[in-house]
Amino acid sequence: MRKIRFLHTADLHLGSRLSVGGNYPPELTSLFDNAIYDAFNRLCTEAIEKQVDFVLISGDVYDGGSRSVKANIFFNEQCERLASHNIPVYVIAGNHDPLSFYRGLIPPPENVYLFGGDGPESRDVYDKNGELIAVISACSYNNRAESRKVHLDYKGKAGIWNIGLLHTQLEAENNYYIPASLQELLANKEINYWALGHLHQHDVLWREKNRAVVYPGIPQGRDMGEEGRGGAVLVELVPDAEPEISFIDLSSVIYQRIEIPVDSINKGNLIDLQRLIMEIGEELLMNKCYLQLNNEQLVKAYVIDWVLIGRSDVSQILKKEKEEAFEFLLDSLRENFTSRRPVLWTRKIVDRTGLPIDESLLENNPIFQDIEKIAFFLNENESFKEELLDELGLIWSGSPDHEEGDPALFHLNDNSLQAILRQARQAILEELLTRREAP
Amino acid sequence: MKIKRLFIKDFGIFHNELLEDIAPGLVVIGGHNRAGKTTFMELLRYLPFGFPRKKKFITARNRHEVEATVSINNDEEINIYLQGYSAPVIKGSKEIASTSELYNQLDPFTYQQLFTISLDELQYYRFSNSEKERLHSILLGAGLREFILVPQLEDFFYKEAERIGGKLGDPKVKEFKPHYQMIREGVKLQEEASRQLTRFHEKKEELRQTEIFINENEEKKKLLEDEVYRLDILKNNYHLYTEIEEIRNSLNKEEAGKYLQEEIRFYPEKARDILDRYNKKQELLKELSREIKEKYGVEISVPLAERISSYSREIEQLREKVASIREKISFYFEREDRLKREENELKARLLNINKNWQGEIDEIASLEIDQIQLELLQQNIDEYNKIKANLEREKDNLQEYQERRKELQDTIEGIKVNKPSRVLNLYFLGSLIFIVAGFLLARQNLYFGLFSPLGIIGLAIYALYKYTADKNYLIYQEKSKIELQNIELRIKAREARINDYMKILAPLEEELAGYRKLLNLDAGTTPEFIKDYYRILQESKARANYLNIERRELKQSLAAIEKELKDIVELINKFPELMTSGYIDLEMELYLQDQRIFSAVEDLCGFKDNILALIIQEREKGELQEEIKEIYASAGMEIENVEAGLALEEYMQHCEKYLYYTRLNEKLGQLQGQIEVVLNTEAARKAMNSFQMGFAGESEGMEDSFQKFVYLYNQFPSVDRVEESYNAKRRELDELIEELEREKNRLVSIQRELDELATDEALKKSALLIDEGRKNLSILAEEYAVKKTAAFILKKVREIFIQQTRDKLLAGASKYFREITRGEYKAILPTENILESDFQAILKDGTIQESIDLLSRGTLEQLFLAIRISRIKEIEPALPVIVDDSFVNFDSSHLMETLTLIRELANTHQIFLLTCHPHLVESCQEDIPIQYWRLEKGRFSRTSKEELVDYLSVE
Repeated sequence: MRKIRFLHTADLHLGSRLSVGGNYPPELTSLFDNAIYDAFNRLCTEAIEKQVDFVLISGDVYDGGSRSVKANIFFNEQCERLASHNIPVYVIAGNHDPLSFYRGLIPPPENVYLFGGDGPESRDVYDKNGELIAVISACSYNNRAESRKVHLDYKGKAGIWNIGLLHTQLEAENNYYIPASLQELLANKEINYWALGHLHQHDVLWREKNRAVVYPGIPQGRDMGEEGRGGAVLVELVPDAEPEISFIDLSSVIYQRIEIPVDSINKGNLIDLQRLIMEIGEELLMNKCYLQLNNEQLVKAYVIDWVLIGRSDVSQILKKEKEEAFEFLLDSLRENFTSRRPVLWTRKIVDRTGLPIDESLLENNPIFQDIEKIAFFLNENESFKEELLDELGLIWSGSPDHEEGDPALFHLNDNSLQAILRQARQAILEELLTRREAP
Repeated sequence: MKIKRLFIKDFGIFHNELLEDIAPGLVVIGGHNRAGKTTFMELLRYLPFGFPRKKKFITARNRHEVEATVSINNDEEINIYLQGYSAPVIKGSKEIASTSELYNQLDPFTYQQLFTISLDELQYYRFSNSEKERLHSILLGAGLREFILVPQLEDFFYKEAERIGGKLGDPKVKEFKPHYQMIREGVKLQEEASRQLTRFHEKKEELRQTEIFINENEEKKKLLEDEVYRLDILKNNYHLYTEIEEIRNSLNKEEAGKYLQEEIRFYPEKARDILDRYNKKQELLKELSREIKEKYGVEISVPLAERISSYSREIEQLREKVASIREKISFYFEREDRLKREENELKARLLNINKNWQGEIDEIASLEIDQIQLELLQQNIDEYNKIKANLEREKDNLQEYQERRKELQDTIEGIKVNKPSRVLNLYFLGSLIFIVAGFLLARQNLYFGLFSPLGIIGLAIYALYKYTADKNYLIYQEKSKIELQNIELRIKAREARINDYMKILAPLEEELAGYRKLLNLDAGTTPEFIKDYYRILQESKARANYLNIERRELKQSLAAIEKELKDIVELINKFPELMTSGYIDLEMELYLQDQRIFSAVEDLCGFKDNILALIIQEREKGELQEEIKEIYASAGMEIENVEAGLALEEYMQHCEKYLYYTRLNEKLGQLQGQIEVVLNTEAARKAMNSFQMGFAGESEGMEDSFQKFVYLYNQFPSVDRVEESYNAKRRELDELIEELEREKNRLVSIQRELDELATDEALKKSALLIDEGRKNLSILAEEYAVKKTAAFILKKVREIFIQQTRDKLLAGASKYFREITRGEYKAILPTENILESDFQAILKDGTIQESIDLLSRGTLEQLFLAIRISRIKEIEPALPVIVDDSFVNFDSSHLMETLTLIRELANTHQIFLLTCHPHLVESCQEDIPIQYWRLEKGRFSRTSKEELVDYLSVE
């Protein structure tokens, strides 16, 4: 067993595009349009520069919703680059690009090996000298969902590095994306390195001597759900040592959701609000969005959702002159920050503000107490939550963001639930007080 | 609060109506219909709030004006003043500033619904839903006051949510809709774009197939083009080759072979030319012979011709000689004439000078005039002339002086002049006369005295003039006398000189006389003439000598001429046959027969020229015959013994045939050439090269295009068939070209489509739509969720509240309801949904009537009355209650119970009971003080129970 070095990535989603809130100016076209391709291009460059033994892609090379000739040709070209440096690529098909998806594509070059979907399959990997260095076990998705627990049957060979490729949500009950759990993976003692894919956030789930379970994360985020750094992992398996796993930043565009408390401009107007956001924007730029990247030059743009929170009279302006106000803010922010390097691109502005309220007025009110009680329950009680979700109707019946779902539906995660609850409470109190005062 | 006094200045039917001392308890007001009961109720109803500006409200004569005095806390009186539509004004209270304080902030709706009860208020079904809802919360009472906002808010948020996303939060509806549609559009585009990959492959395959098709058919097209081209060539040249075939047949004859031999040459042009020339020559010869005979009358014989020929040079020279002799003779005669003329002239001249001269020219020649020296003669004559001239001059001068002398003498004698003194004397005398005369006259007239001075002045002028003139004459006379003396002296000198000249002249005259004698001249001839005559004689002598020499020379030249002429004549005489110009006499002087000789020479020369020409022509004829022989030889033939002309004609016939065949042969070449030119173009070569002949054996050797052409030619029996075949192939080709063109266009469009498919523009567009739509939708979705959640929370609050408060709410009302219905019903409850505008009535046996819809009209009115009384009792302070004939639907027992309740209420509240029913008045038990008022056409008057019953009982 010798030390091996490889690049592990997943969820390239070639063919899909960044969500940047609609149209963007021509000077950003190239950046936004090519960000996903650029990330993979960089990945291949890294692979070549770091002289890796091979590259692993744990599913979702392509984006199911966006079958694209360009993506197909691009992927093949990049793999040819790797081929010219004798770097093989091992790929499994994920839920976005199951094997059925590949049937329509121009076949990749010969250095690319796409695992079949009939069941776990092992592949010996030799180095340039013909020495066996690793065995890779994997199984592709045949279709958009995969309920077989294939990972249980991954087999390794003794005295050699054994690597398992798996595209999973890592939820034991999730029958769509391979029901699996960390425990199960760790239980399969034959596999040294679990190269996972499907979840878009980078995560090292396990690391011990000769073993690791790793999600590399998406190389280039495409939506606020894929906030923060994006990249892949460079892995070195050293015999009888903890695997060395280094995250390589690949994203040139980074998503950030920034909350802006408006309480400080209680009596202010739209201009004050604009100034406040701009100041925070400047601060973000100055501090590089407080991200610790290993290659800061890489980032060409931050895509920002500004979430206005807190209580202020500005809220009334925002609610009254909704469209005009947001258009004004959006335009001015985009205009101000588009020429900056990196660009600070405003994707959208979310208003979660409320009017200033003197809650003490309601302290003894039995109804107010009831409201607080119920809001608390909504946070805690699942069946209550379910009931609310039913109430929220069709539009909130969407699946989590990284799944392939109806783009017209939304998924209620804890964050959004919190935000919604806060706003609902605020709205009730506002109305209650207003009506109480009215004759 | 109680109303103590009411002054209605102007309100509807009421006018300055005053009600005083109104009882604080039950006040019964009876009146017929239209007496003003309802108007009165309306008045009280709006008293706390001011009159409403609504259309159907009670009118006023001028403007509404009402004044009320109310008491609170038993003693304090407050005035309420209402005017027009303005708000009520409070007077007389320091603490209470407004009616709303007085009425404890009660809103008009609640006050009207609870405290002013007419049938309308009890008849629930008349209310609109919103009114019902409102009323419901009023009827449910004090505990609901805060809570009542909850369902309102719930409803508000629910509706807000519904406005955004409908009841079900369906993204397809309401405000979601446009964004949803945008997303859908994007998704649709995305799906289409995703199909691009499949299309890409399909198109790739289509591209490949199309390319194969095009390549195959391009090849086919080339072959077909070649074939069409070949057929085109064949079609256009078919007739040419047919002609070639025909010509070949003609040339295959034996005769043709004879003429088309390599070494044989016919020269028909040359032969024709020779024949022409030969015939002309013959003609010329004949003509020449005839002309000579005619002209010279001589038969031309060979000896003659030869003789002429042998002398031809000499004869030729004759022409020049004759010309020279002719000139010489003419010159001779000219000279002779001139000589004679000059001799005569000389003689005439001499005679002219001197008539004495009679001699011949020879005599002149012999004159010895050389003895006189011309120079000396000249000297003498000059000397003589000079002296003579001087003499003459002196004689003239002398004469002149003599004439002057005489003239002067005459002048001197002629001048006679007065003395000057004499003039003065005359003057003085004249002056004296004038003075005397003047004096005399002045005596007559003083002015006449002027006469004498004027006359004296005139005389003075005259005397001065006369004196001057006389003096000049005297001077002139003196001068003339001096000149005369001078002239006398000059005359004497001249006379001496004349004498000298005369002495010198004498010897010279003697000398001149000697010359005259010598020259045979008269004595009187002038010295000048002597000199001239001498000179002429000298010249004439020289001339005479010259003329003699000339004559001698003439004689010699004539002899030479004669000699030459003699030689000529001798040559002429050698051709006696030609003596047509006459005989030349050799004995005679020949130069005199010159014309005859010249004519003979001319004849001889002409004859000789003709003969020589004849000889030349004969020679040329011979040459022509040689040429004929030559052309025969080059045609491989010999002249058989025939005349040259005939031979030529025969030759010409051969030529005709020769030409015929050679032309055919040439034509053949030309035709083949034409076809070859066509076949030699690049296109034709290409078309022919690709042609494979039907049978392998021959095709190898037949690579030549022409041969292939011939082969092709032989495939078709006629040009029409070629044409047919050509047209068919042409059509086939056109169709193929058209198809290829179509396919090529398709290729381009496929390629373009492929290029388009390889970009992800469509995906980008779709993503933009989805992104934009989703962004907007997310904001709305959150907003929707917030509203929905708010509604949800409020719903939950409401549920909890209802659960907790339902039973307590209507406890009081139940009690009154039980009393009115005499225990028939035991309770009133809100429905399950407390906010639903409905009640449940519970019968004494416990059965529940779920909805008021199930109750009879009377019971329903009783139910609402019970709830109202319960609520009226709850409200502080106790406010006046107005009941306007509300119990008409109650049966008597229920009425009694109701009145009992009313009476009970009157303990705490002021109650205005308005009615037109005597039985109601009658039913009022007077266990409490009751005040009765009669109302008649807007006028109030206090009355008693009995009077009121009576009054109301009268219709």
